[in-house]
Amino acid sequence: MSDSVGMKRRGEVELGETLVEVNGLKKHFIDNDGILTNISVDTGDGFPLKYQPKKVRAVDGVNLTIEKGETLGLVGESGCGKSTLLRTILQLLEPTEGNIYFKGTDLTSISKDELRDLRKDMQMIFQDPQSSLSPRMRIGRIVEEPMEAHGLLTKDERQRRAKYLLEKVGLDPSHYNRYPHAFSGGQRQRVNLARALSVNPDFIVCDEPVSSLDVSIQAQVLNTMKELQEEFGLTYLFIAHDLSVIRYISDRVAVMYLGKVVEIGDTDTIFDNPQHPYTKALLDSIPVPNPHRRGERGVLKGDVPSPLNPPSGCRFRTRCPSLIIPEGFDFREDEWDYTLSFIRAVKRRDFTFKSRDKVVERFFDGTVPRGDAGSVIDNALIHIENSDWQEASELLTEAFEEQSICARAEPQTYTQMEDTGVKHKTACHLHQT
Amino acid sequence: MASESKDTIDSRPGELFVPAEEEYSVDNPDEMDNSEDVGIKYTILQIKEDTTARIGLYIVSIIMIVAIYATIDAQLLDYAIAERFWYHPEFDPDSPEANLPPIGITNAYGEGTVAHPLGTDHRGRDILARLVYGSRVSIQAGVFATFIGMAGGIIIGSVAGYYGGRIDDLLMRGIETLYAIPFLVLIIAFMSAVGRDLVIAMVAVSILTTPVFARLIRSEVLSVREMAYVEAARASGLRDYQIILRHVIPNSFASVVVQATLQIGSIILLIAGLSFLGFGAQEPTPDWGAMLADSRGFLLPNPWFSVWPGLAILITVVAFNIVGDGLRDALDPYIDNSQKEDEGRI
Amino acid sequence: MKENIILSVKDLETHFFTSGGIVRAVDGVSFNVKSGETVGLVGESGAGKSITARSILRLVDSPGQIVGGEITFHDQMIFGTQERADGTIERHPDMLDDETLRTQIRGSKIAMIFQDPMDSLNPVFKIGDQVRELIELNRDVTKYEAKEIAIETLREVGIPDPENRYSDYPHEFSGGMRQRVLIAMAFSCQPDLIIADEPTTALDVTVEGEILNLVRDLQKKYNTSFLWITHDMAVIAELCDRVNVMYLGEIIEQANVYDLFDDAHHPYTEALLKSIPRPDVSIEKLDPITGVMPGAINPPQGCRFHTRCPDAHRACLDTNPPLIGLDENEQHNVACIKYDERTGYWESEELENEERNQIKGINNV
Repeated sequence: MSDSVGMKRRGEVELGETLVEVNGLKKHFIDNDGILTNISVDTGDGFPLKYQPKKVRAVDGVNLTIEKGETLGLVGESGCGKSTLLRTILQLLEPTEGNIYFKGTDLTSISKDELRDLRKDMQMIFQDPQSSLSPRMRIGRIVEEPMEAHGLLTKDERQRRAKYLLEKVGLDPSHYNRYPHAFSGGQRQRVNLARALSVNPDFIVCDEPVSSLDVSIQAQVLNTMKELQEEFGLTYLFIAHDLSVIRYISDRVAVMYLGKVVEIGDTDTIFDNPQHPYTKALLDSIPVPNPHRRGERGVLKGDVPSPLNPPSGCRFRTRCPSLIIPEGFDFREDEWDYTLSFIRAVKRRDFTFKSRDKVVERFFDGTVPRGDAGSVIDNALIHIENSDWQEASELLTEAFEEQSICARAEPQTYTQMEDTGVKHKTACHLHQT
Repeated sequence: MASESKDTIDSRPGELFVPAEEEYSVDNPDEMDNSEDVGIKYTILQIKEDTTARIGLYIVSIIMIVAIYATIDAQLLDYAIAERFWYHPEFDPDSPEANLPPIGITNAYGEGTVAHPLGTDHRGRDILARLVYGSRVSIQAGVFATFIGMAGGIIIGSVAGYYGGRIDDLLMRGIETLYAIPFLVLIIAFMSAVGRDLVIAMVAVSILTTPVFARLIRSEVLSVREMAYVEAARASGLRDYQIILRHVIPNSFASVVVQATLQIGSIILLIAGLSFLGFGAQEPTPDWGAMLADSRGFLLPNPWFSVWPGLAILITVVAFNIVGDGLRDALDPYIDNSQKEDEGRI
Repeated sequence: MKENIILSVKDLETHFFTSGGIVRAVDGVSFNVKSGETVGLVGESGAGKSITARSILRLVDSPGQIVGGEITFHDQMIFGTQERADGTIERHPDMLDDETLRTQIRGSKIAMIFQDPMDSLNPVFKIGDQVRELIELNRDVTKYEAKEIAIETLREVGIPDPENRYSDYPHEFSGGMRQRVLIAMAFSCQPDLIIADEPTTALDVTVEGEILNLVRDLQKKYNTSFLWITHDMAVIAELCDRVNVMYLGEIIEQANVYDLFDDAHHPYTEALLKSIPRPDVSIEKLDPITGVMPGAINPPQGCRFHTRCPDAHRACLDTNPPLIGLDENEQHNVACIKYDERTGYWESEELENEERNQIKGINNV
């Protein structure tokens, strides 16, 4: 007969109901470059020396819900804050603002002991199979550790359960006494899985768990994760930079940019019919394993801005190909697109100035737009001719980009209901209802 | 997406499924175990491959045995401190030199006989016996002080490194203050006030060794605490002290062990220096440094008197250092001493 | 050399002599690279792709050693052997000596780009100086001219504001930017061949996209050939003209990129293509290859892939199949006995799981 051990639980959630709810979550880091760099002279009011530490706004207002039994994929470029979001949800980092509700309990307002108790229900899987397992601990003990930490079961029971779990994740239970370095990367990730499962959690947060594995091993581990989800009723929050992996494993996908979620919805809809310009650009730029589709990729130019100083209004506006035309300008057809690429090329000093005509030929197909827009561009061209790129860049940015509503106001989140019954949310001015 | 989850016991909330005894045996001796790749046995194997380290290890073992022997042979102490005065056959008690302290020799200046293979010192005490007994003092001081310093340093260093912030600042400023004061000056001042005794010297040296280990382990901890397995431990719900004991310290330990062996060497030198200045072992306790000090006055008549204790210090310290180097290499996962050189080079 | 082949590798063998045994990391690899084309070398970790690349420039260090084969670049022999009278192997007299290889080939005719830019860039020197130094060494220009060229090259690879960023240090650049610097350095001496060892693996997908476009543009402009090493099939599809698929030290399939994807013949290639998730299609369930690539110390007998091959028959244990052309042109070559009637593949029975050289009890990794 098998044993089962009961534990005190509260707020149990059924399949399909909300398991995790994140409200207005913010996590800011103070820039720790030393005291002296953060002192500035400000003769405004009071003491002339001001200490203003810069803040890295890693996560800057995120709202999410995750349902029991689903897999939510989280994508975004490096620096968008997804790892930070993961760790803040799990309370491995303390949020600067906002609430996280897990099974109805607000994690930000409970005591340390209560939090530790809840850790049984939320676990994490890490990216690097090597550094996530203590090299001097046998894997059996590694798998048992969460159970030990919470004082569950007796020593013998823990051992038996650990072996059972090792087999569940596809390893040989007789390897219980081996050290991590005896295993391959894929096997170590399975140990990670077994460890996460040992306390029977509801929610597992996965930080790029297959990124460092070989392609054919990835498939094996992903399948195992899916099977375990079926069997144990797990809920996953899954980060990967490989969008193919996200497409395979996720039910819904959230796209992050510079600390905010810009789009969230059903996986197929996000991939086949993305609404947000960033999502579109991201998906467009992925290479596809099909040589017949070469050269179809788009390019998302530029770098992600620094989270120390995010752009005003919509954060994507510095790179957005669909920036909304500011009021007061009268552009013909492609002229706005031309102007936009020109502005960005100037900002990046992407070209050398040979002659005004050559530049106009290259960027405006021979003709500068008329009217106010035209005069600004002309001025900019004069600056460039004098090698005054900074002036030109500032002029163009102020006149065009910063006048657009995209720079003046933060976009609201617009929700539309898909046929699948899933809410599709986009944070973009283009989708005003 | 998880469908209606099957009715495995685990999917019922609050329950951990534990399989029956018959299914998974506990503590099965047949289970594969590759602990030979990690830990003490492996480290020793690595050292065996490294010739220099092996020699060092032999020497250290010999010295340790000698030191331990010195604690059990009661006769030895007697031999070492009993003063016997041997006079040169031509010694004339009425000559002006008669007032000079007698130089203990046997048949000729410094040459040994069977009874005194290394000769005797100025007070007729057998040098070999004094060397052997002196090893006990040196090793005791070295090991004791290193051990205390290590224990204290590990606690302070790991707490400072793991928590960071104010705690780190506070502890490390304290440590650095200790570091900033010149060792010797402090000890001498301290002992002048408190009293010149070997035990006091050892305690003082222990306290002053702590900063070395504290800083070392703190920097190891700083890198270990960023490791994913530490984060995993936190996510598992382990308490901080458990994480430090179970994960942080064992993984930071390698360089501490190496430092400890090197530290023993330098502490032996330190105690010898103190004794040389008159602050370590007091008469009549034999100590290598004190013997060196004594030998200064008799360099002309008995130069060998200074050689033996100097040699003893040299060999001991070098041997410990070599073992320390060998340990460092052995514990470094990137250096494999057992690789063969390539063959059949084209 | 015929047909504008610039690099020819024949039966290359690079082994590592360790206390655990001889690791046959590269065990008989043959391929060539033509002028202006991009050749891909694809395979999982442990297949031997990196070592093959390094062998071409003789960058293999002890305990590794190139033990056999011939590497020819533009009529110059980078590596070759001949037999002495007593049967032992020695260096071929025509082989380039170390000095010539270093000064004339490495960096100037054949350049290499590595995966981690921080491995190749010195953190205490400015980026611009590092590029300029390379140009000075390999091209006959003055220091001032070299600086001008360096700035232009930086601009060409898309580094914004290159005049000012010339004086920045590596840590002031993002990962993608650093990789561009490496590309700039590789191109700066206008080599005929660039060997790229997984340069985009560690980069974000958008950055990777930009780098791939950059490489394609530069290649068109300078007609440089590329040997591109990766494990990512999407990059292969995007960039390569011809592809070599490696498994455990051997090339098991060689074809142009369209044939490889549309008409893969080797079971490994087929299985690999079926096991990768895709961004453009929703897949219900992935079909992974069972097992793991064995170590190269003790490769499986016969065909090295038989332990994991869904189509393995008994005959697969008998021989290690050589690369054979599927047609007379020898444009599509496969190392599998299925396509060679003489081997008796179809007559022999299927292999059961237990009969393969599998590690007992672990059929997952």
